[in-house]
Amino acid sequence: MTSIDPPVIQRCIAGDKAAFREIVIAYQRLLFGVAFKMLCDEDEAKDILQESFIHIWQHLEDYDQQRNFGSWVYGITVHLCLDRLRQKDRWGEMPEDEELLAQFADDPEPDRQLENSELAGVIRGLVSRLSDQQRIAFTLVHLENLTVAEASTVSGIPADKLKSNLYVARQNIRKQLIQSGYE
Amino acid sequence: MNNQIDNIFDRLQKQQPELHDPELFADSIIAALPDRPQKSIVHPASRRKGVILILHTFSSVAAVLLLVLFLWQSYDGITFHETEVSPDYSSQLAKYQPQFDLSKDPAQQIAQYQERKQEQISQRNQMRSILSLNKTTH
Repeated sequence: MTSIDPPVIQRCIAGDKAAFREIVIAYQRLLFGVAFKMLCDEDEAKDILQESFIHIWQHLEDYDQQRNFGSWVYGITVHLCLDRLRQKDRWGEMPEDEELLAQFADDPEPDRQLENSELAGVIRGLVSRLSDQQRIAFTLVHLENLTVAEASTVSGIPADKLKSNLYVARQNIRKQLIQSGYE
Repeated sequence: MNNQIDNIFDRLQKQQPELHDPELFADSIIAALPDRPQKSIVHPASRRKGVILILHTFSSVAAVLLLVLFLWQSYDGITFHETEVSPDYSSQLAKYQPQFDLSKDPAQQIAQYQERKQEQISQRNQMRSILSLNKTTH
């Protein structure tokens, strides 16, 4: 993860907003990525991103400098996403999600970067039937490429529980994809 | 096995959502930041004074408590003394009980005895009322 110099953090603690802008520039893509994949919605991801940076700004004194700063800010965003997921009723699968997933699977250009709306639809198509915990495990490990230990640290979910949720999530998604004709 | 599905997973890992115009977004975040709360700084000297004040208050309260305890114990001692005196007082009264003289008129002796008895009872009552009065004044 991106690192930030301790003097920059000290300047932020002293109230220097220009120094904090360096932090925002350094981490906004990373945090937007995880928020987007967890919430499958660009506007909500931006909203969480703003909340995350305000939280970081207000709690910089609580940051333990022995820890990796990137892990700390990443963890804050993951927790805010978890809160947002709990507030939401149920993840509704959009009618076009299945079609977007089919287009993605059969894309003749496999390395093509999807538009945000397409990516949101594909992820939603995969995870909309999962529980919140399974969804978190799948997003952090499969989409964000974290190890189980890293995912456990940033989400606060015990590693064993996360591993079992990941297993069930994978099984559910495979079952769903097989039913849709994928092998 | 499940090659197509694994392929979907692998390709999804490489997908990153695009944050359009990050500079503008960073500016909007900075503009939304509240001012940092100013923490009140406690001077070490005033902290020491505070500790001394707490200790002083604590010792004063402890002294008052000890005094109250002592007074309460003393009051309890007086009541204890009073219960010790009462039986002794009764035995003293019993010592002066007159004996019946068979050579004298029994009716007269009984009347005299009853008279003395009444007198003793009234004295005892008087004494008791004095004692109880003392107790309440303590």
